[in-house]
Amino acid sequence: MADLAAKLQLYFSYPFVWYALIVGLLIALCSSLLGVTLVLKRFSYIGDGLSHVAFGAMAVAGITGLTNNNYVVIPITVISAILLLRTGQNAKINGDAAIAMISVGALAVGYLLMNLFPSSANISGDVCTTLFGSTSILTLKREDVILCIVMSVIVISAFLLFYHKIFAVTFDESFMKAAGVKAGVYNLVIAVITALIIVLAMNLVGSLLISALIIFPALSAMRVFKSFRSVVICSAAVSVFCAGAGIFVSVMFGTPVGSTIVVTDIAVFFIFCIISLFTRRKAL
Amino acid sequence: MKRSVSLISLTLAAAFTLGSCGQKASDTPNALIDAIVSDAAGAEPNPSAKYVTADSDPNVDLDLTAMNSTMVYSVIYDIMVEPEKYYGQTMKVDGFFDTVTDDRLGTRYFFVVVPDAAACCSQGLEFMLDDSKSYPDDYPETAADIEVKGILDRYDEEGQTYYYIRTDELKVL
Repeated sequence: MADLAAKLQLYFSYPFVWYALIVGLLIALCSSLLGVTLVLKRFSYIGDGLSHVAFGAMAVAGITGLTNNNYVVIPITVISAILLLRTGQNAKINGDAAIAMISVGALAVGYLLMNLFPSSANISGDVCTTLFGSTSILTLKREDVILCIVMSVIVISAFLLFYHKIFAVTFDESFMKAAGVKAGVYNLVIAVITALIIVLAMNLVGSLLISALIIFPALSAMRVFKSFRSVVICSAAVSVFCAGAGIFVSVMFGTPVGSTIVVTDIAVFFIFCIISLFTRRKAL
Repeated sequence: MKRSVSLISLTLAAAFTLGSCGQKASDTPNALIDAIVSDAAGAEPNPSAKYVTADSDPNVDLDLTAMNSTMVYSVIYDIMVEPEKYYGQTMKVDGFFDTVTDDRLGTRYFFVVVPDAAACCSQGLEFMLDDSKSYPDDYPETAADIEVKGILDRYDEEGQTYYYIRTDELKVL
């Protein structure tokens, strides 16, 4: 126990561990807020689709040789999110088909470009790091943390500012349009915020596991709570707890960061399922 | 009230973003980070000296052999990015041996390479034995597991500064 405490003190004396914790908690908070809306709008897989688009965009950015990939990744991901989400329920290609099409296409194009125009000697390492996050979260610089803080403030503020409209467009978009409210604008806001979160979250858990960050906290909260507000609050709390616990376990015991966070999310989901059995029985 | 707070937050965020575009990053996010990360962690260039664990070598400042693979990879990355923080520290690291030659300069370099937890990425730290040692007689085979213990030193070559572990202790595991 004393040795564990000594290791804890040692590891958390490094600034990069704190940077990982700050960024991880902020990303978890932001993704959980959007997760409730996306799950209810049946766009649960949007995280996966957009992360694959971001993967393809990173391959394109590698070819251009830009020092900061975000100049290419963020615009392409935002445009893809707008195409997928802004059209809402009346798209000619249904949501799941559109996501699958763009997702698989971007992944294939990205991997092809990375092989044809490699930006480093270790292609599989680059791919593995992008897909699974690897130790990216523990190699952040202070500037990355500042960027994450700023983008998180933007996302959280936008969510608070447009809370009631997001609520309305989540549950009854058609009624919203009939009432004269511009549902398309709020779909656009959701799309842009989702894209920003996806790009941020790729550093934490990688492309393949982003959907877990978005889906699991929302689904866990929905097992127990019924109102939109309480689901959002619980989802945020669960997501932040799981991200913090996952990073802590990963740092202390040497497990991969992304998958540890997702496994923690899964464990909490099962706990909430058990809790829901008791609460349902009590209600009866 | 909530809308006002949100509008103010959005305005502040936009201001920070614009400010960050300049050469000097905004002071407020930096102050926030400093408040969260302890001053000791940022100011102390030698965090490991204070915290000796049961399986760490008390005779070195930074014993990477006592850390798990996730932390080892991350610390070495930190050494690569901010080597001046670790300059002059004694360190112990294990990994596999690798060597490369710069044909243009005719110089051979030796590395201890450490993979990350998933073994898909790796970081290498250059090391040098004293001049009395020669390659290949006094060095192990490529990809052999080794442990290097020495002091982080630096040298200049063609206008660039490079950091390496100066050691006379190379153990083949």
